[in-house]
Amino acid sequence: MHPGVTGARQKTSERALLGRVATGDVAALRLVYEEHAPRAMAIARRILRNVEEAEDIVQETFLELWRRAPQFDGRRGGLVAWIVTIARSRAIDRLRSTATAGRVADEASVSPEVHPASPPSPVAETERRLTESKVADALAALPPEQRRTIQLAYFDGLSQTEIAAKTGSPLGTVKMRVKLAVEKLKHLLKDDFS
Amino acid sequence: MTCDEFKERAAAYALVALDVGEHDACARHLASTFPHLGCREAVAEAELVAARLGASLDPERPASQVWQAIAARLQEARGSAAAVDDVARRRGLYHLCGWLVAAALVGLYLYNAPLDHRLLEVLAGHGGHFVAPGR
Repeated sequence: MHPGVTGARQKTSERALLGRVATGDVAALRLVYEEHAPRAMAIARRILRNVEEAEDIVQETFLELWRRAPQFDGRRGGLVAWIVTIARSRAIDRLRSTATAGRVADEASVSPEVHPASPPSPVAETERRLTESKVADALAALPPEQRRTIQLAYFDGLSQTEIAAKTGSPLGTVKMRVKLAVEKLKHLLKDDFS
Repeated sequence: MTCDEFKERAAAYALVALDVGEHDACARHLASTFPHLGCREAVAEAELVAARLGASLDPERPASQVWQAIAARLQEARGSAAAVDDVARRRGLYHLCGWLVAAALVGLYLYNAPLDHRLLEVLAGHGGHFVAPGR
């Protein structure tokens, strides 16, 4: 089946599911949670490097999703993008409010240990590995400074100002690197967005 | 902030890499209702990139207590919403009773008002001296 057809069907089903959540259907929220909580957890844990805090973020993310379900706009990248955006924003807010950015930045080169509670299905695992490989290839295709900037911004939750301070680069240069890197990643990963 | 200025920041905005003031200014711009020149599309595209980056991480299932906590919070919220509804219903009933009493008083006044006029006319017709009918 053409990926575009699958994507369209997926978006329709996401809209229907979010429509049920918007009417107060807890079972529908549970379905969304079962499907996407591990992803929200992964990104929150990557940024905060703390399981309990990451779980708090997952809780906040799905409560926010519950409140804002009527505002879901499928044109803005689908449910996964929405959940990841909420979880990241919440995690970064917490990171910055607890002023632990410095700690995280110092640990940036250390890969966090991850323990999936249950093994994913072979199909899901294959799909994720494929995504991981594509993202790794796309990141590898970036110039080293842009790659480092994106890693610090995305995976460590640093602001552009913090990145400039950490890398010793002018703020304007960091801003330009972020912009160019996202443009390039958009181009490199565009097949995944169809 | 103009749409061009916003689009310059769209990637950093989607990555939550702007400083607080700049992030808030962008959020306000995005929320404004005037016709945008591709601002929402620019953010949507950058958010897709961000989501794809996030999808490359190993998924990690949160502890089962997390869902239980969410369910408890929803239950609690529904409980308070039901309590608010109950108070509102009672308040509505009190208001209705108040209006019914007020309407009854007005009705009584209107019912009695013509009698008063007739009484005044009777009084006026007898030089201000009331004569009981039948005397």
